[in-house]
Amino acid sequence: MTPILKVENLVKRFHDEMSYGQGEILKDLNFEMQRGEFVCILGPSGCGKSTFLRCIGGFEGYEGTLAVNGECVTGPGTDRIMVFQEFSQLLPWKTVEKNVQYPLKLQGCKDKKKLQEISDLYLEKVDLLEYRKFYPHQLSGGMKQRTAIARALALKPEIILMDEPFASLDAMSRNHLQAELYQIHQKEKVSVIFITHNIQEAICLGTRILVMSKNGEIKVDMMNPLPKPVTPSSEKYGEMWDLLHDALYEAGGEEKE
Amino acid sequence: MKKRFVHQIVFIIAVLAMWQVIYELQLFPALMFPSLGSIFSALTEGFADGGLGEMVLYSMSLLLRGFVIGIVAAFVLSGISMMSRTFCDIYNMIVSMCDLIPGVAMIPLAILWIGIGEETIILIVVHSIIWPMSRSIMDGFSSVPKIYKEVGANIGLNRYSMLLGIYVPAAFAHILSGIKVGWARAWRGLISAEMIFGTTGSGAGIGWFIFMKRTNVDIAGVFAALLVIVAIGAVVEYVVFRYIEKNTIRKWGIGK
Ligand SMILES: Nc1ncnc2c1ncn2[C@@H]1O[C@H](COP(=O)(O)OP(=O)(O)OP(=O)(O)O)[C@@H](O)[C@H]1O
Ligand SMILES: [Mg+2]
Repeated sequence: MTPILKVENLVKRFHDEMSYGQGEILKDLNFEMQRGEFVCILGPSGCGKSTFLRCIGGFEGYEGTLAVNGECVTGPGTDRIMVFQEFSQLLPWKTVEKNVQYPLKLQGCKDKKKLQEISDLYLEKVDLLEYRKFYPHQLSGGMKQRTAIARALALKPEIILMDEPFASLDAMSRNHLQAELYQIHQKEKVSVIFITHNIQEAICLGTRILVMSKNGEIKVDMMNPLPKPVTPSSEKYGEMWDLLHDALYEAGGEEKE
Repeated sequence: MKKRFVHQIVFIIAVLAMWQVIYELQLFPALMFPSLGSIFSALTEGFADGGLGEMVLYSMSLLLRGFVIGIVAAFVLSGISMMSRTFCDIYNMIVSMCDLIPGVAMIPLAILWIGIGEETIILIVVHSIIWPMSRSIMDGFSSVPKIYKEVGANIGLNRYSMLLGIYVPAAFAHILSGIKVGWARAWRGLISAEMIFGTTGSGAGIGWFIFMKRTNVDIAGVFAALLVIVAIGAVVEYVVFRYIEKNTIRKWGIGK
């Protein structure tokens, strides 16, 4: 079976006057992802996680090979839906529910009742059903991100690319959304690439965990051995946490105390 | 909001009162400085049997036709300049140059080319609106945040559907301000053209009314016509544009 995503010798440079040296943000990445995997990426700030995700999404030019389902990535597409790191990713002229419905309409779903059903279903999952008539500027940052997640899920893409989607949520809703996302992943067999700064989150959600280093290389690439559902009291949770924590410290180029 | 209206209304009443006082003091000849009463009666007379109402409607119909043509053309041309770099460079230059030409200055040429008629006045109106409108649309389009375009591409919009799906709503604050500028210019251009042309054969507009009153040295009538012009402008500004604003950019939380 062809892997859902195949990355070979991926190099990313930004060609502007600002980048000194060779300006290589991503150095020769190799990575293969199977259908249904939930890959969490950890890494110090500025190491190129978002850039990597944006390359997969088709938003950046790149050197090397990047293939989704065996097809070379040449631009954005509905098979790879991105939940951006920015709060401003909702269309401000559409209400929350229209933001979710619009992409579906573009995919050819014209039936009003069906659209309503789908948007209600996914807004329910992210706890925003009662806000469905709100405009984005009336929402908090976290609510905007949740709407973007609902929009991505409703489209049922082959891969969902998520860039720190839960970073601005409080612990309660974060836990709740983690559980929802995990369930959706289980039920719909969608493949997810998920960037986070939170080790706990990576261990709880990921079936596979990558750690990127400051100079744009994949330093750790491991299957998550802990059986789901993972809680901090799971066996080996502490060991895993320490391992990733150390890897992150080294990846950041700082001395461990 | 409320307070602003109070300020403005109080100011208007004060100006009217002062006007009347100056008139009563007879500082100027009544011919130059008519009383409020005579302006008011010129106004009612104008509407009752002077055909002022018809002239206003006629002017408005010319304006509206020119306005629609100008806006559509501005959208089409700015849209094309989004698609083609070459066209964009050239069109930008054309807009900058043509925007400098006052509508009235076009009148001699317009008469030479298409004669005296409705089309000529409509052409002046189109000229007044198309350049500022194009400028606003292009400015608006080029300041659309990158993230909206990326989201648009991600959810399946192509180069062309992106225009209506993303660019127009995202640039709506700019577009609206372009329409406002265009409206004011078109309104002025129209009146000037009408004053210069007089009747166009098929009808006479409010500019013609002013011209006639002036020739008849009916200064109260001139003031009455000016009041009508201001009133129409104010209705469009405070009712029509406010309404559009409230239901678009204010509701969406974009723009100022
Ligand atoms: N458009 C750009 N032009 C030039 N350099 C850029 C551009 N975008 C990102 N970079 C550089 O690429 C590097 C990686 O940025 P990236 O946003 O991928 O980091 P990140 O790992 O997502 O960080 P964070 O965790 O803080 O979000 C940074 O050094 C940044 O300066
Ligand atoms: Mg990032």
